[in-house]
Formats: sequence, C-alpha cells, structure tokens
Amino acid sequence: MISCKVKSTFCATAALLASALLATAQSSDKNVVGNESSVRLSDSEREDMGDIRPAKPDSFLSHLRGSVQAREEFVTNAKLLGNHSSGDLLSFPTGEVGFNHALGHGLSIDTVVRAESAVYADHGNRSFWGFSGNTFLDWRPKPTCPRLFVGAEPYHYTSYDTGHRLSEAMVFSTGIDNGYVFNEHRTLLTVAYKFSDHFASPAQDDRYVNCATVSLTHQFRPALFGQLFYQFQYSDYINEPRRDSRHVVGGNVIYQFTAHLYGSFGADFIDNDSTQALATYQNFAAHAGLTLQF
Amino acid sequence: MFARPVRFQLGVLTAASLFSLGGTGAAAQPFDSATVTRIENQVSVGQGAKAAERPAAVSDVIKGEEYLRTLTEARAELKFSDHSIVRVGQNSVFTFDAGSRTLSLEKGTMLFYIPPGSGGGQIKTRAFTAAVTGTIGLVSENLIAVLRGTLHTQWGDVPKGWAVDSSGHIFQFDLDEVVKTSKLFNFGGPPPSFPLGSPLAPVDDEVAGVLAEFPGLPDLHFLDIQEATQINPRVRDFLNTPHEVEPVAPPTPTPTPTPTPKPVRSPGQGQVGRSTR
Repeated sequence: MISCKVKSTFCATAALLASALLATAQSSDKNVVGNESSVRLSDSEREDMGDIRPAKPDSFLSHLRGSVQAREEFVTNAKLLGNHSSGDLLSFPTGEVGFNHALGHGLSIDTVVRAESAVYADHGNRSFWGFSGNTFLDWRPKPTCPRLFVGAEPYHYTSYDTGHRLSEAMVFSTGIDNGYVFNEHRTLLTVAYKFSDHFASPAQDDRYVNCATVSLTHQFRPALFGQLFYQFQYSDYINEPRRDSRHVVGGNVIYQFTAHLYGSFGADFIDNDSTQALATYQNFAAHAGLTLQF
Repeated sequence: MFARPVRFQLGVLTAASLFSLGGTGAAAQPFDSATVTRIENQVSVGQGAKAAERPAAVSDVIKGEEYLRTLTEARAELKFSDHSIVRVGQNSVFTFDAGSRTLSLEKGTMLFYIPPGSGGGQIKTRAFTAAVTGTIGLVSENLIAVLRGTLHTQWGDVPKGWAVDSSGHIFQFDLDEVVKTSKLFNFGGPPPSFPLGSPLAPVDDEVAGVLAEFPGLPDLHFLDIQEATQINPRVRDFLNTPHEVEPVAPPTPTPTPTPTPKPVRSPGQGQVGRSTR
C-alpha cells in the first residue's frame, strides 16, 4: 500500500521537476546581453573584483546545491521514554543535494534529497540510517507577501542493528510562513504554520500534524547569529487513540566561517504530552555541528 | 528590459532623480566619517595636496574632505556609522561626500555594502553615477557589478548577478565565480548580510531578499527523525505485544460470577488500514 503511495508521489515529484527543467531550458538563452569585449578590466582590477564576464546560459547544474553536515548531540533521554533517564551522545552525518528553480509569477520549486544516519554511542541498537527529502512548490505573490507552499516529504529509516525498517512515510504538507525584519535590519522574526498528512507504514502511524513555529534571529556580528525559537506541534493519529502535544523551546548560535562553511551550537528542551502514556516524554538536548555548503 | 544595448554615454543622474530612486523613507545618516577597520600593505590618507598624505592605520577616522589611497597589493576596509562598509582595492583613490552620501572612486576598485533601510546612497566613478538602496556591489572605473539588491542607473535597474559598464551594456555574470575569485569580496570574509542559505542566494527585493536568504526557522529535522524512529516503533511494539492477563481469582463454593474476558491485543492488531475520518 505504501509503495503505491510512494510511487504516485514520486511520479508527481518527477512531473514537477520536469516542468522546472523545461522552464530552465526555456529561460536559458535570454539572459546574456553584451559580450566579453564590454568588460574592460586591468589585471589589478580583475584581481580585486574577480572574474567578471558575461555568464553562460543557465544550466541545470546552476540550479543545484549540496551540503554535508556533521552534528553531535547529547540528549538526556535517548529512549524518549519518561523523563531524562537515558543520556546518550548521538552523531548525525548528513549529505544533501537540492534543486531550486524560479518559475516566474512568484512561483518556485525546491527539491531536496538527503541521506542521513544517527549513531547512538550507548544505545547502539537504536542507531539507524535512511533517506528523506522534500519537494515544495512555493508561491510568494509579492516579495513582501508571506510564502505559501505545498509539497511532499517522504522518509525511510532502517535499523543498523536489525536491518529492518524503523519508520517510513509519505508526508503531504502545506503551509505558510513569513519573516519580519526590524531593529535596523539586524533582527528577524519568523512565524510559520504547517499542516501535514502522514501516510505511514504500518498504517498505525498515519497521522495529521499541525505545527506552528515562532523564531527570533539576531545578527550580533557580520557572521555571528543567535536564534531563539518555540514550536508547538499537535499530532492526531488516525488509526490509534493517540494525540500528542509537543512543545519545543530552544536556541542556536551560528557562525559563518567562510562563504561556504558555518558552524552552530545550541540546545533545546522538548515536552511531549500524549494520550498514549508511553509516548509522553521530556528531553533536553545540546548539539554542535559543522556544515559545508557548495 | 535588458535587451537594448545603449550607446556610450557618460551618464550622470541628477541629484533629484537619484534621491527619487534611492529614497526608502528612512532617515538617512550623512557619511560624516568612516573608521578604518582593516588594512593590508601600504594605505595612506590625504587631504588636498599629495604631500599631506599620512599612513593609515586601523581605527583611524577619515573625514569627508579626505581621500584614501592604496598602492599595489594594498587594500583597506572602512566602516560608516550606519554600518555601511567600503573595501578599497589596490591602486585606488577613494573619497566620500557626507551630505549626498556619495561614495566616489577616483581610480581603482572598491566593494560597497549599504544596508537596506539606511537611506541609500550614490556610487560615483569617472564614467558614471548610480543610485543604490540596500546593495552590495563591486565597482571599477568602467563597471559596476551587483552582488545583492538593485542598482538604479539611467539605463535601467541592474539586479543582483548583473553588471553595467560605462557603455550602458547590462549583462549577467557568474556570481559564484566572482564570489570565489574577488579579493575584495573575501578581504576579511564575506560582507555583512544574512547569507546562511546559499551565500548570495536569489534576491527579489532588498527586504525580501534578506528574508529569502536566511533560514529564519530553526532546523528541527533531527528532532523529528529521532521521534519517528524511536517513539513509534516502541509504541507499536507495546501495542502489538499481548499484555499480561491479571490472575483470575480462585473459584469459591458460592455462586461463581462469570469472568469477563479482558481485552488483549494480539500481534498485528494495530496494523489496520487507514480509516475514513
């Protein structure tokens, strides 16, 4: 059943990507005006300004991006059971490839495919690896308007220990978010709401999720940012008598070392209240990470 | 808009048209003075005659009537009170005018960063003048390349990733290549911005561009995947494992009540199809 859902969603994703590629191809030959002879720079000027010359037409590769990330996280509740009784150190190596293309009229498409893993230092039997991704069609009617989005987010995770599937779902999401800059353009307030419908396997995990997030980001130095956030998430399980209310509060500090490398550290506290007693838990996590973008 | 090459024109926009283009409604602070924040090799400050030049040092304050000169392989960075930044390249002469917020490049190269909402300003070389609001750009005598925001010229607006030369040709350039190869861009690190997405990601508007480039929402993906993999299997195992049945009380001689069966979940019972709600 899930494979049918996955296939249909991948077909939809492929169709969206195909339309984006078509749009890329159609727009590839209309950007360049002028020629190299119009760029008159001395050697010393070129050294300081960089290699400025008329660009080649857009290619597919110009819409791609990628990153690798290493993240270490200490959690007080690796089992996510009860309150802070199973401390552990988790490692999250992640590789990601993304594609973004503007379709015009405020529309754009963004796709991410991610390979990731979680390794538990003490609770090794909980370690897993897997894939996740998303494809979103974004629409911002005007530059100052909120962003509306709709898309799909599949994921699949497998246990290192048993080789068996831990969790798998196709998630269809829609939502809205916007940011407000103030304080001499050094502080950014972001609010977001997202509704998701999880088609999971087994179907016991099918659920509706409503998620609201508020975050405040401040630029302390040109390359140093701080962030505080709060998130409320309400999950309504469709085939089980289970409803979860999750509160997350936390903060991050992010430093950009170079144009392509940044590091972060932070902490968050989670309080998950559930009508299913075994899903009620609290957890505190502190993490540090390094991301290389290209 | 960019499909018409324009004949060579040493265009100078009038002050009135510049401010009509560059006005943001914010109270603009004049460029009264700038502080030297970074220096590489031989940089000097002068006023009027060349003989009056003195070596520049970090923390020096430069007034509007002075100029800053760099020699070969020398560079300098200046910061204004409204957080605007100018990086001056080698073999350059740079001046600025307080009242009109004009950054002038007599010769050489410079990178300018004018924060959105600061009141904008003018960029002036021997060949042309342009107006900016919240913008990052690279300038030589005959060329301005826009790295962020929009440049307003008499030939039309020049958006991020496009450049205009003194002939009025507006063309797109390879932004990533410039970011990688420009010594001024990387002199002391990337210019201030909200660049944590792609370093200089797509910009539609000065303010929206800031928003578009910064991941204002926290990345809670790792939290979600921990939950997806740790909670649900355990809850599923719990639901699929038969509960221990409480021992039934021994029968008594008196009338025996009929025991009520206790509901017990059997393996797989939880794996039901998606119900219609």
